[in-house]
Amino acid sequence: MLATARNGKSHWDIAVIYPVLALFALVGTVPFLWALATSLKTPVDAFAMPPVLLFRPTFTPYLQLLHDGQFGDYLMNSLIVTAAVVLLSTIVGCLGGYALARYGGIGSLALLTLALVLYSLPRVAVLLPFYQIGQSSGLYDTKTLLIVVMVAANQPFAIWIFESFFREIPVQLEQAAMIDGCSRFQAFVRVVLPIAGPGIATTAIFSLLFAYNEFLLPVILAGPDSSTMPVLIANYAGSSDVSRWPLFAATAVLVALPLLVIVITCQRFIVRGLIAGAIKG
Amino acid sequence: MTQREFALFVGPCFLVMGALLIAPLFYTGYLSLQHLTFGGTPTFVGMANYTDVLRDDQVVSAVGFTVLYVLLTLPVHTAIGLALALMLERIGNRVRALLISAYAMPFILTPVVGTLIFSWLFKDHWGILPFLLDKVHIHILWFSQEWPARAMVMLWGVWWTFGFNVIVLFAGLQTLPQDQVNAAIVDGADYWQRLRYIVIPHLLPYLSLVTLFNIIDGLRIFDSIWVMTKGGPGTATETLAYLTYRVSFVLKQLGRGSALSMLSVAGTLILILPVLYSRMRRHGRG
Repeated sequence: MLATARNGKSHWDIAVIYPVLALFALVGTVPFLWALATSLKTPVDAFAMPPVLLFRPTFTPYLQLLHDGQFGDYLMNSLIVTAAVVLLSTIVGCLGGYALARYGGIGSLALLTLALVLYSLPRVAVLLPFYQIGQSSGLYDTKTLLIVVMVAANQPFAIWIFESFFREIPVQLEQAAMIDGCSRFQAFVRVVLPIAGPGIATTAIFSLLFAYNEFLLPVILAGPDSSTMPVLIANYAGSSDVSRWPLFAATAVLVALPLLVIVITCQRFIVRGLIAGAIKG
Repeated sequence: MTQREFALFVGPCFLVMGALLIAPLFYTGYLSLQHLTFGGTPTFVGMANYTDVLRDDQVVSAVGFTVLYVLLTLPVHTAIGLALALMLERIGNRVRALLISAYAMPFILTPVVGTLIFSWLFKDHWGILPFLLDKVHIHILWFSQEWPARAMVMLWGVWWTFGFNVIVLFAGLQTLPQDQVNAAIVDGADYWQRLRYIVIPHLLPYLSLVTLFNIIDGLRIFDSIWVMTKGGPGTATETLAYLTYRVSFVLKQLGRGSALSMLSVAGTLILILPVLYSRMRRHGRG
């Protein structure tokens, strides 16, 4: 909006703005590009200083990962947990968010406020009892426990997002359907949900990012049977075996790649999700 | 919507949050009053955990580093975020979308991955940064010297956060009332005057939101410490969240860990109280 305030394209734009913007784009991406380059190098090239910029790429680390049972197990855990968390969070969240957007009573405000508080709290305070109870009940190190706790931890954000989207959908649509004989639930499923795509997409993306990226939860509640990818990656950090760096880098690249695709293709939803709190806060 | 319908729709999410977030929180509060190591039986000790924790040097040092981290990184990435958001206003849509993707990468891509590869740049012998600094005869051991390790964690914090600030502040700029800007131009206000008297005041709610988010995140910073330094060297980079984790799940002192958790909860509540208050007041008016 400030753009109209300028007097045509000044030399400032070319001399300062583009270089600065590009510099920070590099700051954001260079570590990832570095990891990509490392993953394509032989161990010897990977540690050569000064860095080898022109090298013959090798795909050995990626081929190694294909046959790495541990990598496969962690990946499978990540995929199962993420899929379940996305599905459950979205279903439970859209019901709750819809009610919060449509009910004018004090209950709505109380619940939204509660969600904001729960969303801000340090997660360790909530996880501690699960560790204590999980160990004695045999739920420790199961995907079920991980999924259930993640869905709960994700609910405050999910209902917050859904509430802001449903509020934009005109009430008259459901009212018309209900006059025609639909129950509230039928009106919600047949009239509101079909046009709630952006809200569903935003919540699904953020649930995916949360479940796929979360580290604290699995590091506390999961053991060898149910740990997800971030735990595997974090354990690399402790390794002093430098010859395995290309392998580590390849894992990092494979884990980050799907998210990169999401960032680029779904930017609209990500931006909307990030500012959902900002507009109302 | 009737009260009954509200209850039915909200029921599942309320049950999930109540049983799996609120109840555990109270249980942590209960555990914080017990002497409990993992596997043992709890014995009631009243406020002993709290008085112990508040006198503990490690806690003082962790709180100190957490506060220092927030105080030193916050102004930097907020300034960067604001500057970049203002610059993004002046360029074309397509390049802008691409740039925003690049800025978002540090905090959208798996934090553990980002932190690991960020820390590689600092590694002794094979990192690019020590190599470049060596050229100008500066020798820093980023992982084994206290202040360099702290600086590295803070640099990571700036790297991780600035993109979030760009996105939120840029969104704030989109809602700037155009007629005010035009009126100021007609009155002869230059760019810096418009920035000072129109843009910044308009962005204040967004800036305070970004500040609040960043402080709350500062209280939770854990993944990156685990991956980069494990709190070391010594306890130089131990944050409150990392210390709580270590006491609870490495040393397995659950009672003490619970007390630390509850103190973080109290701190967070105090921080978000103003936000809650302003929301309530707005609701009361509307």
